[in-house]
Amino acid sequence: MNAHAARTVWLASYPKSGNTWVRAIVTALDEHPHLFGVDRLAAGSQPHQVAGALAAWGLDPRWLSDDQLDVARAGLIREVDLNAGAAPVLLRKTHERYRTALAGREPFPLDATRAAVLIVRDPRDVACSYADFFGVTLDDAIDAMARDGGEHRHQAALAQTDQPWGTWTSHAMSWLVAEGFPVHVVRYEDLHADAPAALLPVLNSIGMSVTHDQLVAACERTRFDRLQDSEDDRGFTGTSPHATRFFRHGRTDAWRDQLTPGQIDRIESDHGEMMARLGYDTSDAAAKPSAFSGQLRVRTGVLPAALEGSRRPTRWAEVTDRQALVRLRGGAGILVSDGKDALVQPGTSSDAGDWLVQGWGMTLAALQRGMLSLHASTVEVDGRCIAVAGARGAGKSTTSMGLRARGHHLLCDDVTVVEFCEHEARTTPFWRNVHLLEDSARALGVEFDDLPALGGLRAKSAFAPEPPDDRPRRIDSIAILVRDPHATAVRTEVQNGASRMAALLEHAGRDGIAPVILGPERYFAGVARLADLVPVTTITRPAEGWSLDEVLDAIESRA
Amino acid sequence: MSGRFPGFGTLVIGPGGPATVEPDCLPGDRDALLLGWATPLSVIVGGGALLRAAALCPPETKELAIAVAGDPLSVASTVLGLVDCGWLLVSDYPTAVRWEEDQLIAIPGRAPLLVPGSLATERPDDEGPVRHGSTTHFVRAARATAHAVVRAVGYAHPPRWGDPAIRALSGAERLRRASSLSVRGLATLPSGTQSGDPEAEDLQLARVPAAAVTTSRTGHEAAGSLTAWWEEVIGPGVGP
Repeated sequence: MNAHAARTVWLASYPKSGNTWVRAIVTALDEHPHLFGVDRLAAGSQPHQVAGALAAWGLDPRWLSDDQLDVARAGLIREVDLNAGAAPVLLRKTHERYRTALAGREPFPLDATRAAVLIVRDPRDVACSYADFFGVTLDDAIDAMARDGGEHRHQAALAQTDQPWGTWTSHAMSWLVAEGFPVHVVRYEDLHADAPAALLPVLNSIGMSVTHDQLVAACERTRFDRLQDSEDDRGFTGTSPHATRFFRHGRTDAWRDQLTPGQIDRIESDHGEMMARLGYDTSDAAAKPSAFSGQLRVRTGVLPAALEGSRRPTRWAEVTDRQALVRLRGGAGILVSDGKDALVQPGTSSDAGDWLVQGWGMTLAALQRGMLSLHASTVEVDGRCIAVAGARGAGKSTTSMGLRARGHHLLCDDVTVVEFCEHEARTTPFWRNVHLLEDSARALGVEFDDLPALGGLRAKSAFAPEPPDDRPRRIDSIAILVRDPHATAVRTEVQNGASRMAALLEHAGRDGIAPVILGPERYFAGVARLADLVPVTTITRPAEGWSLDEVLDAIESRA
Repeated sequence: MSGRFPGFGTLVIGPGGPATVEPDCLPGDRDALLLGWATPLSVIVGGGALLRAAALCPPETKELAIAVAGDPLSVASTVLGLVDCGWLLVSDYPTAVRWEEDQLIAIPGRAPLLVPGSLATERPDDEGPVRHGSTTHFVRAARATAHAVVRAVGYAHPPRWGDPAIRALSGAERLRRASSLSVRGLATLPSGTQSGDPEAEDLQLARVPAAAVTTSRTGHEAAGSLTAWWEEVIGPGVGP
């Protein structure tokens, strides 16, 4: 065989980049409209899957050694290319990175390769789709895209060759620098904007005789809503066990609603060079959305008795890889899944849903999204964002209400979600009731008896402040309130080095739940980064004989 | 007929099925050539048929068997689950079969049970890799030595969103799956080698009760589901 006779064209892509969509369009070109379905797409035979082809020879591939499987792969690619019948082009999907090897065991034999079509997609969108498909967190998806990924033959079901993907960058690079055949690049975003225009020149270049009208008709038959309908009707073998469907929404720029600025930074830092080469703009930090601007999807119901395989950081909390369950007094509790869904069990309190969602719900969701959650209120004092942290009973709510009474802007009580963006620690405020004890309310001039009592926490009532300006902002300073029975006066102390780290660890752990959800390494790295970026002051007060004004003065002076 | 796989070896199958093999270089390839290639081909050359399935029977009813088909990992994991529940292995994939009137008879196989190394390691019955440089392991399993009537087919598959643990199949779905269960049209065989009437056999095969079973890594849940379903299909007290 010579190079001109080769008919195999590799449809190469990193996973979750639109390969199946292109296969659907190509299938629709040949298939009668009434027969088309996602359950029978063309080009699905991947080169690493040698078992089926060998079985057709009556040979049980489980008896072959790794070397023999590699030889078999190269031989089968050639064999299939030679016996492709009348088809002018033989399209074959692969997620593997391109590589070469000794003659006789080449993963992509040149004498059987006519060309490659490299389908690429914005890695920020790939991360979102990857996380959904593989049932992992966005952070894990981003980690995976920066690691040499793929499937080793030893992980596989039975008898196949390695399937290395590489990183998102190295995958694209491997095909772009491949020698011996042309490589055509198709961007998912261009397909989304105008699929016929994006595909027509490529399909004609590889030897498929396709007219514009034919391609328009095929693209119309493979509109995303129609692929979804077909998947619903006929099923799709590529559907992940972790996701309800394979064809999710086919959007571009979905990452803007799903990734935190920190996550966007990581992807751009890992893959910026290749993104630029492929024409993907890297965004500036100010334009990046906060992952926390999205609300939790909340429903009310009965909590599960237990989470299977969970760890228990406290006797009232359970954590698994995807879920976190907190049970409070009176039968109330909340289950948060994947950082976005909350199931609330109000227990004996009719209003428990709100305070659970605004409190533990948001905290657990933030941790599941890879952020920190400080046990702190945030107040904007003279344009500077101050997080007022402290243990239960230290006076966070009273202090933040006192600052509000002095004309400062209360941003959020008791929960400060922290995310990192370049060289800043940021928080995005969300509306939340302020929980006040009777004494505190009266000291602040708030009529306690007029406030609705908090379910499960009868000693406190809920004060509804004005909605905050919810744009993300830099945390300029952290003030930690300490109640010390031995202190005789209000004392302010700047914390540095290890003492700053220790002080923050105390208020970021969320009863030991944060290290379990985030994992100890990421948790400590996050707190260390916060300690590195934000000055911390402790404000110690005696148990008695002090005034709120002294504390407020100390905070204003820090601001 | 004869066949050659470069780097592996050559086989020659005489009329009626006896086979000789000659490995290219590795002595270990002799068993591999014989059990992994020549034996199944011999069955077909000798006028028999092969099912893309393993076959197992409960210890109390060794004359009846269930065929377990599906993707290789799900089959391996389900077979291990059933073996752990006391089922006896009639044959690992592929299973030699023959039709006797309306009954499908599974013929005990000689080949050992092979499973992916990822499933075998840490099992007490793991006997190690098939040979050096192989990702497949031998697993010791209690065997059935007599022919058994296939009375049910379980199609094992990985967990999918919304799928129940087990779902009995009927009508068109059973026929569709049955049509891909028999090994036909091997590329190594001259056309017309296989005997029998494929369409009639598919219809007969579709009469055998079948179910789709969701299989997890250990296969124990799938084995439990299949056992309970088997008892429904065959009658109470027949299962292990």
